[in-house]
Amino acid sequence: MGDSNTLLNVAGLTVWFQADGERSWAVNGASFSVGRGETVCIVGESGCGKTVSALSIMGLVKTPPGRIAAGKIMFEGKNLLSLNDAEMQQIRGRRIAMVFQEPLASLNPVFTIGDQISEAITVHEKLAPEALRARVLELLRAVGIPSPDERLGSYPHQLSGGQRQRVMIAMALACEPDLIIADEPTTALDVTIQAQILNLLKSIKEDRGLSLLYITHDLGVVASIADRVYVMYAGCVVEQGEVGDVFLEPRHPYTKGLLASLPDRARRGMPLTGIPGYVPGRFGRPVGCPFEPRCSEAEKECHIEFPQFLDWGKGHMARCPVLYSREKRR
Amino acid sequence: MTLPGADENVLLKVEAIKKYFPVRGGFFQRVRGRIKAVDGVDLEIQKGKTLGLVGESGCGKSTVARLILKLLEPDSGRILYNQKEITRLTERQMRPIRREMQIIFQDPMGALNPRMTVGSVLQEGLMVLGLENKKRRERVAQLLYLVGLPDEAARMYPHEFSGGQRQRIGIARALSVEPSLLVCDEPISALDVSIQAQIINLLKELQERLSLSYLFISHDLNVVGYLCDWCAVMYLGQVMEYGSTDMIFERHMHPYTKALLASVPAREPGKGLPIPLEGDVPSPLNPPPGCRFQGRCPMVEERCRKHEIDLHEAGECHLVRCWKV
Repeated sequence: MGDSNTLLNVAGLTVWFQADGERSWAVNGASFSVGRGETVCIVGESGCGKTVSALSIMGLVKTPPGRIAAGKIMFEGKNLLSLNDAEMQQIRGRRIAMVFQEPLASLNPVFTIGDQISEAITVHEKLAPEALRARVLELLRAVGIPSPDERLGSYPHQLSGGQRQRVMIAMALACEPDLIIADEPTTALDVTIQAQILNLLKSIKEDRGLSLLYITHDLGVVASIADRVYVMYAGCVVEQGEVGDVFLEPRHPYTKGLLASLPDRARRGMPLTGIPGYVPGRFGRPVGCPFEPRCSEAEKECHIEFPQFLDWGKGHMARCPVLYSREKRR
Repeated sequence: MTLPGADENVLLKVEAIKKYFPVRGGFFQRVRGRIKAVDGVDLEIQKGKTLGLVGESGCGKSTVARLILKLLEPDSGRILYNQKEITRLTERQMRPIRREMQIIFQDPMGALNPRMTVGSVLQEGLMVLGLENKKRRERVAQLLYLVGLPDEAARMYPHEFSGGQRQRIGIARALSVEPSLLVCDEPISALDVSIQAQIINLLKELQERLSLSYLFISHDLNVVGYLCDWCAVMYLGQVMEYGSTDMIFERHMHPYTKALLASVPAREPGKGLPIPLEGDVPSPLNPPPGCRFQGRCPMVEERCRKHEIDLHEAGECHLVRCWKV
C-alpha cells in the first residue's frame, strides 16, 4: 500500500541487540503499514519483535545495545529514521503517541495526574494556566474519568488499573496525534476493564479520526478491534491481511497453529492441536523460514529459503516456503 | 448446601468459609478495618473432576485456594477432605493430608529455588516420604517423563528452561508425592498462547492417567469453559453463581456472570467489540451493603441495595446469589 491513504509505512525494518557478544535479531525485515483511520494489529508471542517494532517507530530503541540495521519508517512521506533528535521530538508525542502495557510503570508516582497530563501538553505547546487546566479536564472527560475536577489532584496509586490506563490514553491524546501506538494496553487488566478500554479506544479513534496500531498477543482482542492484522514470528511478518481473511482462512502454519491453540468451550473433549516446541528466546538470523523448527508441515526447502509473500487477494498474504513451492509447481 | 452427586464422590467440601484480613495502621498499629477476602464460600470438588473458580482480580479466588490447602487458617467455616473435617487440625495432624493436596502457581520461576537442580527440587518431597536414594532417582526419571521433559533436565537449573518447561517442572514437583487434588492457581496465565495449549493438554492427560481432581483458578473464561466440569463465579469474596460449566456458560442467571461472559472478546471476526461492564470492583475493605454487585449491576433494585442474599437453588445443580432469580 503506497497510496496517499497510507499514514505509516514500515519497510524492511531490521533491528538487532548486542548482548554477551552475541547479536540477537529482534526484528528481521518486517514490513507493515497503517492507513488513515485504520486499526491495525500486530499479533505474536513473546519475543516476536512486536514491541521492538513499535519502539523503533517512536525512536525509542536504546542504542547501544540495540541498533536499527536496515529499513525505512515512512510517516507522511518522511523517513523517521533519518530525522535528528530535535526533529523526532516534533513527531514523538505530537504526531505519534504511545500507550504502554503497564500504566503504573509509565506514570510518575510523585506527580499528580493533572501535572503529568499538563506536562505532555506543554512540551509541545505554550498555554496559559487556565487554558491548560481546561484542556486537561477536557481530556480526562474524553477518556471517561469520573469527576475529573477531583481526579486532577490524584496520584497514580490512588487510581484503579483501568483508570490509570485511561490517564495514559488522555496523555497520548494530549497533542491530538494522528497515530496512536498501543502496546498491550489491556494485558494487565481484568476482562471487564479490558472491554471498557477497547470500547474507549475505538470510540476515540472514530471521533477523532485517528489511526491505531495495536500490539497484542490476544487473538480475541485482534478479532474484535482490528481492520487488518500482521502475524509476527521471530522477528518476521509471516502472514497479513484483513482480519476476517486471516482468522477464517489462515494460510501460514504458524497462524493456523496459533488459532488451533485456543481453548474454548466448543473444543471441549478434544485435545488442542497447539504448536510443538518452544517460543524462541534469543535468535540469530535464520536463512530459511523462522518457524521451520516448530512447523509440522516443514519440508527440506524451509531450512534454506524464506520466499516472498504469496498473495491471495485483498492484501491477504503469507510467507511460507511450502505454500510457495506448491504455487510455483502449479 | 446441596450440590451435585452423592457424598462419596466428593473429595473436598468447603462450607461457609470466611477469611478477613485485618488492616493495621496508625501509631499503635491498631486494627483499622478488615478486608473481607473470602466471605462465606461453599464449594465442592468431585473425585476426578475439575472445578473452575473464576472472577476478577481481588475477588478472593487465590485466598480460597490457600484456605483449602490450609496455608491460611480460616476465621470460620469448615473444610472437609474425604468427608473428614480438616479445618482445625494441627500442623502434625495435617502432614499426611498435605501430601494429598498440592498446588501449582502462576509464575513457576518464583516458585522454584534457583539454586537447586530440577532433580533435587523433585527429590525433596520424596525425601519427606522416606524413599531411599535409588528409588528417588527412579521416581524423578518417571516424573520427568510424565510431564514431557528429557532425562537431562534433572541435572539442570530452573533458569535454563523456558516458561512452559518451568511450569512442567512445577507440575512434576506437585505430582511427586502422588496427590489426589491439584490446586492450579492461574497456571497458564504467564505463558504464550502456543505453550498454554501444551500445558492444558498435559493437565488433561495427567487427570485421566492419574485420576486427579483439580481446582482450577483462572480469570480466562475460555480456558475454564474448555477444561472445567463445574464452575463457580466469584465476586468480592462471595460465590455469585455455581453450577456445571454448561449451565454457567449457557443458562447463567446472575447479571455478573452475564457481564463477565459478555466482556470476553469474541474470537470470530465481525462480532464487534465486547460489551463492557461499567465501573470498577469496589474495595473489599468496605464492600457495598446488600448484594456485593449492586453498584455495577444493570438490573439493580431497591432490595438489592438493602438486603444481603444467600446462594439459593435456581435449578438442578445450579446455585445463584441474586434477588431477581
